[in-house]
Amino acid sequence: MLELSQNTKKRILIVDDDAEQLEILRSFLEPTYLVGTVSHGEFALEYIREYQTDLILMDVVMPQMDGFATLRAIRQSEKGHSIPVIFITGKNSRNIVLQTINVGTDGYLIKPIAKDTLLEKIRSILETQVYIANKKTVLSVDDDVTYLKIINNSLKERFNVIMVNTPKLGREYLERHIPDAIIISENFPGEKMPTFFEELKSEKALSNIPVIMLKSIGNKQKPAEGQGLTADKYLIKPVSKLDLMKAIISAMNSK
Amino acid sequence: MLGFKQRTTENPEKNDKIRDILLNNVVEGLIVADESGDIIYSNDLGQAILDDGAFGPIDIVSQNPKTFMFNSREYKAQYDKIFEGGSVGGTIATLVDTMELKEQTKELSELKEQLQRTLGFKEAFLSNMSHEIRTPIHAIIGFSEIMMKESGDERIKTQIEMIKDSSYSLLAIINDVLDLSKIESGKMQLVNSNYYISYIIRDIEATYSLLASRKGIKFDMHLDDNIPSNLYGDKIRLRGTLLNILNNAVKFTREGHIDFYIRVVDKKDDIVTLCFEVKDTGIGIRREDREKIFESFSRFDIQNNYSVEGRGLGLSIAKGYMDLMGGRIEVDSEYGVGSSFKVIVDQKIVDDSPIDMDIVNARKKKKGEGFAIKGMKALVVDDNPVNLTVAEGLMKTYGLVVEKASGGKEAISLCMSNQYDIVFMDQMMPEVDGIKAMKEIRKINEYYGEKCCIIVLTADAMAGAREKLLAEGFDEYLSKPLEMHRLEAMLLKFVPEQNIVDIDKLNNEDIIIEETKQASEEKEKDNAKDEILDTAEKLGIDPDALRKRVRDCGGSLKDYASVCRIACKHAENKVRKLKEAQLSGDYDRYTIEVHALKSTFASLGNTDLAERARQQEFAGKEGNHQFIDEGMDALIKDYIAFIERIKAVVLDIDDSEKKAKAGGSGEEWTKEEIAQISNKFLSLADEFKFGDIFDILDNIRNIEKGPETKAFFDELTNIMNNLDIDELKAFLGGHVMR
Repeated sequence: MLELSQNTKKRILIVDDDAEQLEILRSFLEPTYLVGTVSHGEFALEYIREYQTDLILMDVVMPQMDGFATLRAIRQSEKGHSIPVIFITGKNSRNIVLQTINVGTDGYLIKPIAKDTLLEKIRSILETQVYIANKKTVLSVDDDVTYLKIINNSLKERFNVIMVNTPKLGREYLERHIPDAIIISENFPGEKMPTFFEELKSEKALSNIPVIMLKSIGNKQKPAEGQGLTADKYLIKPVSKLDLMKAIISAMNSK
Repeated sequence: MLGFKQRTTENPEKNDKIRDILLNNVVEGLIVADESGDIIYSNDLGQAILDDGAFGPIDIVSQNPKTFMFNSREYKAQYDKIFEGGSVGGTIATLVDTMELKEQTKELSELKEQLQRTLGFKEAFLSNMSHEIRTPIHAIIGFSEIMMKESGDERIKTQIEMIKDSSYSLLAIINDVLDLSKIESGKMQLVNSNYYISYIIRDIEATYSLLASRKGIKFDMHLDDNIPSNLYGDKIRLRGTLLNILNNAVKFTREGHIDFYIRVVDKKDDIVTLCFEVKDTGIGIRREDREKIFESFSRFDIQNNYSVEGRGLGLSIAKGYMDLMGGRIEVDSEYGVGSSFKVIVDQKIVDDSPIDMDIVNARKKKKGEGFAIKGMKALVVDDNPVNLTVAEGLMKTYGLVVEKASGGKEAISLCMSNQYDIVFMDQMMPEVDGIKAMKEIRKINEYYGEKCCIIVLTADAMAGAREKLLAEGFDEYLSKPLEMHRLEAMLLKFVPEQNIVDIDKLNNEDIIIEETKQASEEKEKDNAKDEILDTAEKLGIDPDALRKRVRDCGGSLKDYASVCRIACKHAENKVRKLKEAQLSGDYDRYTIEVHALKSTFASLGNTDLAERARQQEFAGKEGNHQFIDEGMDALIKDYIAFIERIKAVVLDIDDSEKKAKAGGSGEEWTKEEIAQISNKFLSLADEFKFGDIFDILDNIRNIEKGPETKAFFDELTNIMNNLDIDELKAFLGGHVMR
């Protein structure tokens, strides 16, 4: 379980047999991060034993022990099973993608790596890491997949987002899982809104889950008092990332 | 004749010679006259003056203290009487070259000036150097406190604590040296004020009972019951004296006990004579060393005391203070048994009622584990960037949103366009200092004039400084270095109840959110406003709407771009659906699609298209099909155009990507590879991890593939865009390896 300290400098290990590449990447990452560099998979294992490492940047093509082999070894090691790993590869080959899928990395970057791309990716992964241990799940219900993706985009660093665009899919999910919060769009065509929402509320197991309802612009009224069930929070589309997060967190806190 | 003692030779001639040589070798002119005023002797110079006429017998007889010129030099006459057998036998006139004297005096006074200048330099040097040295030490302390608050690792915390302690030691040394230098040069002045002695006593009790117990020593206080509660004097120096002596007691006592007595020796009119005694069972002082203990840097019995820390300045400083206050320190000690130090000093009584024992006994209230502040914005002003960073860091740990200014002018202009809940202003700044800046800020508007809390930060610890600064218009004052507990006390004092959140109830979430908010606000500033203006223009949308959307997406154009990317991916599909609905006359379907489109436009900041989509939706709900018919084509056309603009402007899609999309000219993937991916997707789908599937599909888009492979993934993408999971499972099922 990773420490929740927001502001201590994170340590990144770069593994690459090319000394020049090591130096370039180090120059991108310092002084924002503490940086270690090794040129061989074996040394990488040693390094993570020695130092508390928060992320590993690993070249794929290395002599003797390539990136994948190293990653496997790392994942099996005591300290390495949950350190995020980003692969560095020369080309966007399908081999990489497949291996990535199999071995489980946190992504890959294609050389030559731009400094801001690198920093952004690292930042995003590290931020996600902070929450991984306690990541809450948010079920997001909207008939528009585009909008679902936008919400996912806003929330994915902080939460596990489950996207469903039909009540059927939603029910399927809820049969086996209980989310920590639900975001639901007001207009849910196919079935009238109250029905699905009511369903949620009437399920004993689900009735305690905080629900945030997203209303469309041009439709600002809250349902009148006494008219059926009320959601925990109402937000008006388009929602800002911050407002959405705040609404979810405070709704979760008050339950 | 003169009673010239003939001590030298028996030879009268030789004596005369010697006499003449002697008398002519003095610088002055000498003239001897008898009682009637007749000159009976003069040395060469004297004779020359007599010949000159500038001075004469009459002057001698009348003992005229005249000054006259001779040989362009100024002379002054001085007289001595000669006594012979009880009566005046004559007069000696000594004619002194006053210019010589003046020159000598001038030389002396020049030397004195030089000396004073040197001393002045020394002081300026010391006080400047000490500022130069203190500032980085304050930074070390400040950052140590921040790190301690945020570190979870106990071991690290301990180490940081040691860094902090060492820094405080360093600071103490500098302060001691400075004090001592001031004392020795006579420049130290007492700073008198009214004070409550019970607070000093309480702090002593709290500190030394802890320090003593750490060493396994007992610490007890014994107070007379008639100690006046409110006194007038230099409380800082009095406390300093006591602390120095108590510190020594703790340092030099290995076991046993330390007793602290406060006795009222005498009370007369409005003056009380107090005796503070510190008695210990420590190592004691040898008789022969007793005088020297007050000398600076003296340390004794090094063999036995080598492990004791300290530079030997404490007692010198204590003595210096006492000398200034008209008090004294009495020492009694037996080597190997213990020591007793008595500090006896007079203080003026302001309130003779006895001290409040409750205050003395109350330990400082245990600070709540922590509290946080939400919804408040602070401005910190300091010309020193390190101080600014430390202050910002400290305040952020409490959840304050912090902005910085590095000078008075900047602060004023920031306050003109922002409303800060609380302002921390450094007093000493070049150009526009703290007081000036505060006054200007107060003039800005009623809020700043009456309500805003402005706190001054100053290293000036002189009494009266606080009153003076408050009188100038500050709400409160904080001394530097900025310490966490003092800042906390100040915040608790000024932050309204509703903004304080008990850390137990508060999730780190809120602080993180505030930080995220601040970070995104900063990002927003970083965005050259021009960039947004520029982009908005190119996209044909309202810049303010764009600005708001960028901020809402996370703060930077990059965040906005990722939303755009999503919209663009789905655009083709959407347009197709719209057209289908339109052609088939399925207005209900159309209404649903255009409703979703309205959200998308709003998310992209295109308020114009969003409004039009809303109108179409509304028409659809009302059944106003004619309206829809009239506006549909234009809407779709403008939608497509907008998406194209976005692609070109925001997404900067390059050729290679377009090629890849068009492609399908690469190598086909193997069945195994397809199966592998299908497996993965199926298991992800089972766990409802659709986001992961989208991500992988994104990655695959740019990889070379053959036409069949491309078709496979295109189909997959389509299915996923509808989130038709049943279809997905069916589709993939066919490709999974058995």
